[in-house]
Amino acid sequence: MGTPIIMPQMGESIAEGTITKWYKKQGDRVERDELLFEISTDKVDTEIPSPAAGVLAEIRVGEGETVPINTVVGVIDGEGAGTPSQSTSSWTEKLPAVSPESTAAPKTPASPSRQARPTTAGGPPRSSPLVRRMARERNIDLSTVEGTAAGGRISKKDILTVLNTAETPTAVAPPPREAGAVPVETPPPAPAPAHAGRVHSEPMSVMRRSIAEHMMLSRRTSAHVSTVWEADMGSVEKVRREYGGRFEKEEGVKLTYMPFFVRAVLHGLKAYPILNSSVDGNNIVYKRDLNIGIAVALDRGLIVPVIHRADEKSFLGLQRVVDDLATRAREKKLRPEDVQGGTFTITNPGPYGALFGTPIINQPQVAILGVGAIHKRPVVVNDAIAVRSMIYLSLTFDHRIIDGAVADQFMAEVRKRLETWDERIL
Amino acid sequence: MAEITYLEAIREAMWEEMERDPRVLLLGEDIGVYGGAFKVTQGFLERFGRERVIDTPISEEGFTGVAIGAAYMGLRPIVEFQFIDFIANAFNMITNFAAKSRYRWGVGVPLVLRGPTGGGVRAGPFHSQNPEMHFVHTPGIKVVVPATVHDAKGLMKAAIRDEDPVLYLEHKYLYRRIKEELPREDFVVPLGQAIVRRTGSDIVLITYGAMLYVALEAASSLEREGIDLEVIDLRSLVPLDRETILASVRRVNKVMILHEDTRTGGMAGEISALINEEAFEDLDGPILRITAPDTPVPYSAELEDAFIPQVADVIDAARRLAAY
Amino acid sequence: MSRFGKHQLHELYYYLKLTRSLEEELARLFRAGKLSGALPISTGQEALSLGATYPLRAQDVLASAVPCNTALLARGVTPFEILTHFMARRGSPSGGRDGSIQFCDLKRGLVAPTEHPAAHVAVMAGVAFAAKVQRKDWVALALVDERALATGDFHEGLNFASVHQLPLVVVIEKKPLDPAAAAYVAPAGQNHYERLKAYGLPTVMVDGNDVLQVLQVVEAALERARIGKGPSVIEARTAGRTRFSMREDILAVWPASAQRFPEAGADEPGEGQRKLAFEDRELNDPVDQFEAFLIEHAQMRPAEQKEILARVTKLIAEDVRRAEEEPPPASESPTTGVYDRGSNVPVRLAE
Repeated sequence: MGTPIIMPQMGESIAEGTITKWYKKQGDRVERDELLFEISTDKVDTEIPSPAAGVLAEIRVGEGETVPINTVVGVIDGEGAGTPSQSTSSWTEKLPAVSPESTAAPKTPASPSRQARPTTAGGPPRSSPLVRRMARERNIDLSTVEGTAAGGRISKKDILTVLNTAETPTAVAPPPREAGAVPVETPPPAPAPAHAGRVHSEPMSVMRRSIAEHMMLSRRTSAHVSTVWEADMGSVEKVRREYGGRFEKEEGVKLTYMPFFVRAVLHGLKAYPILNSSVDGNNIVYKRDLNIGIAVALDRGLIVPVIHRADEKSFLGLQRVVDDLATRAREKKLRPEDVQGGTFTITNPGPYGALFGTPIINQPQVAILGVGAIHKRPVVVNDAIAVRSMIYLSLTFDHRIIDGAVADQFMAEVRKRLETWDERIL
Repeated sequence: MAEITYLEAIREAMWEEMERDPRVLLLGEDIGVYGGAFKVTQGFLERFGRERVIDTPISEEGFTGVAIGAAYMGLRPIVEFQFIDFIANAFNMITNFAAKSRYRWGVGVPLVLRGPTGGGVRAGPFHSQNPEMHFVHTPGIKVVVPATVHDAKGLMKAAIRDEDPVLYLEHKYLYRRIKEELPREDFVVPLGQAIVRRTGSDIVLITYGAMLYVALEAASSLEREGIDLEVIDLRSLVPLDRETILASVRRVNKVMILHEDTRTGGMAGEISALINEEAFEDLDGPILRITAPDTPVPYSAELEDAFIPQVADVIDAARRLAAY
Repeated sequence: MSRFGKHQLHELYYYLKLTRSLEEELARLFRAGKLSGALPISTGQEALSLGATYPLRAQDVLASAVPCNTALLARGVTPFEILTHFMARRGSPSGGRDGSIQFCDLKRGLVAPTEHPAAHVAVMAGVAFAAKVQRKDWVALALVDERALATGDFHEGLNFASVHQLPLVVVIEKKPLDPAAAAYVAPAGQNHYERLKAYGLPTVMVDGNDVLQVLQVVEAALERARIGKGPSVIEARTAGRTRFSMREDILAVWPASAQRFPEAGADEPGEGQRKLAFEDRELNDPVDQFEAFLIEHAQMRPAEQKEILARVTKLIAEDVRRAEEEPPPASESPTTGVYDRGSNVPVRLAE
C-alpha cells in the first residue's frame, strides 16, 4: 500500500489544478514535507510538499496536465504508507472530483411522454392507486368492476360496492411480480365466502397469498390445455430393480423415479424447444438453458426448486440435486437462486393415488408435466393381456404458442424414452 | 370566565409567561410606549418596565441580532415584527445566525419571533404577506400558525418555553374576530401536533391559520350536498405532524390542501409530496391545492378577494374531487 | 513597560509564537489538501487578535470576524481543537459541522459569527444587553474588519448599544496593505474612528501591530464598559493584508520551502527561521516586532526564549499528530442536532 499524492484544493472555489513541475522523478526518494511538485490553479501557483517519506513509486499526472482536485497524481511507497496522512488521502480520494466533465450528468434522451388517456380501448380500466391496491389485496379483477366515477373511473366506492355485495369475483388480476417460489397444483381460490353458518376465518400466510396470486396470474396469462398420456414403466422398473441396490450402495443416494422423468423430459425439450420457451409481448423467447423445476409439497404449501442446466448433469448428478433440493425445501434452507430461473416444471400429483392432474403452468414457463401414480394394470400387449406398471403423464401447455400436435410429439418423445430406457445410470 | 379574543389570548400568554419567568422579555417597534401597532402589548411597559419591554429602533436585523445575543446569555426574548412582512429585513439573522447555531455548535437560541401575518384586511402588498415558507424551508426554525383563541394562547406558551427559535404567525384577520372561553388553568398546545377539527369520510381538507374558517364553512355547505369533509388544522408547520395527516389520508383517501399563502413552493406542495411518498396507494384521486395565486397580495378589496381562497373555491374543488 | 510583568510578557510571546507555529502547520496541511475549506491563518493580525483578547476576563464574551487563532488560543482553545476544526474531523468542537474562523462556546466566552462581516455586532449588542438587564458584569467584544462599516448590521448593532449604553467594545481592523481597501467605505482614506464619533461614543485609533498598545487600549475600554459607561470603538491598523476568502494569496508570503520551526534544543532558536515577506511593506511582522522589543528591553533572556519555543514546539507537534489521526465525522450523524428535541428530517420513502 502506497500513500496517494492528491491534487490539493487551493481554495474553496478551485476545481482543478495543473502540474507545472515535478521536482522528483519516478523512483526518487523523498522525505515527508520535501517539495515534490509545483501546481498552478486559477487562484494560486504553489509548491506542494510530499505527504509522506518514501520512494516516488508512480507519477500518474505529468507536467502540463490539468486534473480535478483530489485526483491522485502519484503514489509514494515506503515507511510513510499506512500513517494517518495516508488514511486522510484515502478518504478525500473518494470525494467526487469537481470538473465540468464529471459533474455533467449523463444525458439520456428524454423518452416521449406517455400521456395516453387511460380510457384508451383495450387498456387497463381507469382507477386510482388506492383502488389498484385494494384490488390486488382482495383478488378482484378490475376489468370486471364497473367504474361510476368521472369518466368511468373505478373509485374506492365502486370497489367497496363489489366487496360488500360479496359476489364471486370472476377472475383475479394481480400485477405480475417476480416469482420467488411458484407453486403448482392448487385449486383456484374459493368463491368469496358468504359467511353463512358457523365459520372460522383466518388470514392467509405469506406463502399462501403468494401461491394464490401466482395461480390466478397463471390462469389469466396462459391458454391452458392439457393432454394425458399413458406410459409403460417396465423398462424403468427393470433398471431400478437391477441397479437400485448397487446405486444406493455405491453412490449413497436412493434411486428414485424422478431422474428418469427429468432425463426423458430433457430429451423432449431438446427435440421440441418451444416447450422450453416463454412469451414476451409478441415474441417467443427460447431458453438455451434447460432448468427443470421440481414441485415439492410442504406442510403449508408448495415450492418449486430448480435444477439449473439439468442437461449438463449426469444421471447420478441429477439424483443428487433432486435429493438435495427436496431436503432443503423441507428444511426451509433454499437460497433465492434455488427457486429462480426455471424453464420447465415437473410436478407429481401421484403420491396419494391420483391417476393424473391438470397442473397449472408455472409462469413465465409455457408447459408443465404432471406425473401420476404408478399402478400395475392389465394392458393389451400383442393382443394378449399383460400386467404392466403403468403411469399417466399429463402435460399442461400454453396454447398461445404451442399447438396440440407439437405438445403430443413432445409427449411421444418423453414416453418413448421412458418405455425404452437404454441409458446407463452407473 | 369571560370569553376573550385571539389577540387577548396572545397577550395573556405573554403576560403570564413574563410573570412566571423573569427571563422572558419583549423587543419590537413601538411595543412599549405605544403598546404595539395592534395593541397586543398594551400595558406591558407599565407592568414589566423598560428593561423587559424594549422599544427598538426600526432595525429588524439589528434587534433580532440583539435578541439572539440575549438568548445566548440566558434570556428568552420575544421579538415582535410590527407586520410580519418586515421579517424579510431580519432574514440573515434568523436563517443564518439563529437557525444554524444549534447545529453548528450545539448552542440553542430560545427565541420567539412573532408578528401579524396574512391578508383580508385590505392592507396591501407589505402588510398582508404570508412568509412562512421562507422559514419552513430553513432547518433549525420551528413555525406555528394558531387558528383559534385556545391555540393562540397554548402555542405561544409552548413557543416561549421551547429551546429553539420559534416563528409564531398570528393572523391579523382573527385578532378581534373570534372569541372563546379558555380554561382557567395553565396550559400549552405542544408544538408539532395537528388537530382534526371535523371528521368526515369523503375528502380530507388540510389547512392552517385563518383558512380554517373557510374550510369549516365550506364543509358545512358541502355536507348538504352529501360530500363529507374531514378538516385538519395543522397548527404547527414545523415540526409537521405527519402522523395525523397520514392517518386521515389512509382512512379518507382523497385530499385537498388549502392555504392563504401563494401556490408555488407552498406548504401544500410539501404536504402533497409527503402523502405521495408515504401513502400513494391510499389515494383515490389526485391531491388538489387551493391556494392564493403566485402574485403579491393586492390592495383593493375586489383584487384581494380574488387573491385569497374563498369558500366557493373550496366547494368547487371538493365537488370535482368527490366526483373523480 | 512598567505595568507589564515579565510573566505576562512571556505569556504574550508564547501565544504569538504558538499561533505562528500552528499556522505554519495549517499552511502545510492546506497544501497537502487536508484542510476542508479555505486557509484559516491570521498572519499580520496576531497582535490585534491577542492584544484585544488578553485583557478579557473569564465572564467576558468574544466574537471575531477577523481571523483570530491567537485570540482562541488565549481563550484556552487548544491547537488540537483548531486543527481538527479546520480539518473538519470528528473530534473537532463542532464535530465537522462548521468551518468558521471562530468557535461558539459560551463556557469559554466565545460566540461564532456567521460568515458575514458584522451580523455578530448586533448579536454582541444582545450579549451586552443581557449583561445590563441581568445586572451581570460581562463585557461583549466584537472584532470586525473595516468592510463591516458598509453593512446595516454594524450600524444597527452599534446604534442599539449606544441607545441602551451597553457594555460593548467594537474593534475595527484596518488593513492598509489590503489592495482593495479603497472599494469598501466612503470617503476613501477617512479614519473610521472619526466617522463613528457621530454615535456619541468614545473612539480611538491604535497601532494594531503593537500588541501592548492594543492590549492597554482595549483593557481601558473594557473597564469603562464594565462600570456602565457604555460602548466604545477602537480602530486598529494591522499588517494583515488579505481577506479570509482570499487566504490563498498568503502562500506568496509563506514559501513552502521555508525552513520549518526549529526543533527544541537547537542552539539558536531564532536563527534560520524564515522572515515573512513584510520587509518591503510599511508594516512589520507583529510577531518579530514583539520579539525584538522583548530582547531589546532585556525582558527575555536566550534561555527563557528557548524554553518558551520548546514548549510551543512540543505542544504543536503533539497536537498535529493527534489531529492527523482523528477520523472524519461519521456520515450518519449530520441529521441530528438541528433541534433541541426531535427531528424534522423527512422520513424515508416508505418501503
